[in-house]
Amino acid sequence: MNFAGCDFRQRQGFLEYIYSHVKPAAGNEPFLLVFPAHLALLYAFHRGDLGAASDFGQAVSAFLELPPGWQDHYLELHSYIARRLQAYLVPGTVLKTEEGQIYHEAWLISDKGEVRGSQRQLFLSREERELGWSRGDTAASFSTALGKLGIIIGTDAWYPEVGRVLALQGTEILCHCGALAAGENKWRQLAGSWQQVQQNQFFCVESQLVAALPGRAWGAPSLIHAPCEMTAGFTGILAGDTETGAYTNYLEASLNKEARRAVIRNYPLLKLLNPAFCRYPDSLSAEEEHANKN
Amino acid sequence: MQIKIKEKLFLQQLKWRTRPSLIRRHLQRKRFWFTRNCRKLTRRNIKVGATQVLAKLYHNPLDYADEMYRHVQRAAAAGVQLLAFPENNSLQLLGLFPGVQALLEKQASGRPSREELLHFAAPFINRVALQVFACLSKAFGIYIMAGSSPYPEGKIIRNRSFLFGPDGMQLGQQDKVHLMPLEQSWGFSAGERFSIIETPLGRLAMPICMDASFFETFRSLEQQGAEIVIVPIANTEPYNFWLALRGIWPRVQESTVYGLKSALVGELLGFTLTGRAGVFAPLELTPDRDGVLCEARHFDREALLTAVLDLEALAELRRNHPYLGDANPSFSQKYFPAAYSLKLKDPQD
Repeated sequence: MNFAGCDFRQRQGFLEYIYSHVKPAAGNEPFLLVFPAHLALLYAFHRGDLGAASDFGQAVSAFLELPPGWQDHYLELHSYIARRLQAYLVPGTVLKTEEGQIYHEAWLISDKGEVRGSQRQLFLSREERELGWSRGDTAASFSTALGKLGIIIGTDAWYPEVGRVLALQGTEILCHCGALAAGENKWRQLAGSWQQVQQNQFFCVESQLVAALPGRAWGAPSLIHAPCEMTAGFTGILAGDTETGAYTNYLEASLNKEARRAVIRNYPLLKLLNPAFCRYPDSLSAEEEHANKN
Repeated sequence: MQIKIKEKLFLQQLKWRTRPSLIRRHLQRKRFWFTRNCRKLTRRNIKVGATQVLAKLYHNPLDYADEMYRHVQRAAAAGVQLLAFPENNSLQLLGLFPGVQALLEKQASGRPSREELLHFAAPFINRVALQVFACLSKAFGIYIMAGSSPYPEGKIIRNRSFLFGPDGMQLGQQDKVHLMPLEQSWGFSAGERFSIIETPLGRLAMPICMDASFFETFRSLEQQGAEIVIVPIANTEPYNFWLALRGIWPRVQESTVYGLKSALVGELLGFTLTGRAGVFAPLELTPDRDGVLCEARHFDREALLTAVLDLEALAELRRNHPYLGDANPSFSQKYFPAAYSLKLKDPQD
């Protein structure tokens, strides 16, 4: 979902926006819903909780000053949505302070409304570093009825290390909470989640925000990615429009896990990764350091 | 006895036909001019070229020399300072061995295996190819990445690329680290590391084809300081824009380097090779913000693609990139050793 035109001012308006767009799966089929990054910030701003923030930095500062109960309320709201839609839900991102550090974080909520875990952004943009945010150090893969899910947030899409760690843990579906600055984003998106999918052969549900705050506008099409071999024309895109960049409020696709397994059987890319070489330089340095000490 | 005599005579004939002095003298008879292309090198203005070579089996080494000469002459005349040739460029010389195509295509008991054939043929084809490119780089005074060759090393064979400087000297080599199943079936062995070559043109690297399918290749090279990464390809896949996009293009975007792709296309040894040579750059350094400085229009024809690279602009972008350039050592150290161990246990099974 992209939340373009959503009325965030009332809880009911927000819920109605979601319910009017989301079409739950028929029967008891497992169902995954991913919301874009900065949704909590936008929700707080439009409800008037951030005062008169006049730019993104001020909005972030005001968000971090919100009382602790605010995020509980926000989480409760999304737990309710997950239960109501019987969906696994990644409800966008929140900013969170812990031991004086600011983290950009997303939750995974089960179809029963329970928090199954969370994921922090691992690599930061220049602006995020300047705003004093901190990096998480964990990339988790969550076992669910849908398969193993992983989450990437914003800038992490351009760091292939994140997708690789998740893929090597067996992640089958990546949930990408994005918020790209409005403009021509086709190639930037292809350099992001698209390439993560192609070099790891998992699915990715990329949810991009289409909204604005004072001094900041976000806008890019949401996309659902799959390995090229299982998409029409080999585009690697199951749903969404990379060519014109046209936005759709809600995007859906069925993820055929058996077809994915067939692609991997036919072209087992990760098996072709050379284990003699793939000692990542950072870990190599650590090993060498250790060896030198001994 | 008779077979041994035939074999001996054939070997003598091969040695005679592929002798370096023959290649040298043949090329020296051509119309050369030592270009000034590499006399004055400035990091703001490096002219590079990527060839798209239409594959052919050469029965005569001098015909191969003529064809490579033609490609280099054209590039040198266009002011190119660094020219890249494709993967398996020297395999075209397998035509020196009568009946080789049938032997490679139809493996049967009693016949030499592909691996044995390559072991036998490689020293001869490399002798020709390396001499050709040493001569051409010196004669035109430009840097040439000669493409890759099967290269025997004791009992194993590598797929190895070579770089020559404007003085004709070999500046470096790189073994292919990630092999396709087809190459494994032909008996190739994988290399184990990537390295960069310091030159007055900038810091160069030349991983080969499949190596560009994995981000680890370019991350390693980026961390070693690579600025221009040359990827020679010889792709046996039917051409599709999206499938072809999965190689060098995303790697250039992830690691903020310039990328050159040289391609062998057409029919060779029963395979149809496709690809579009090109020069690639981070989105921010391309006029249309698409990461492409130039790219061949066709995937099955000869072409020469040239572009000017600005290594200072690249360095500036690396210092100020809005999204890239961050590091998370605690994440890397926490996961990578274990993650790659997991990989060995087939996470996709």
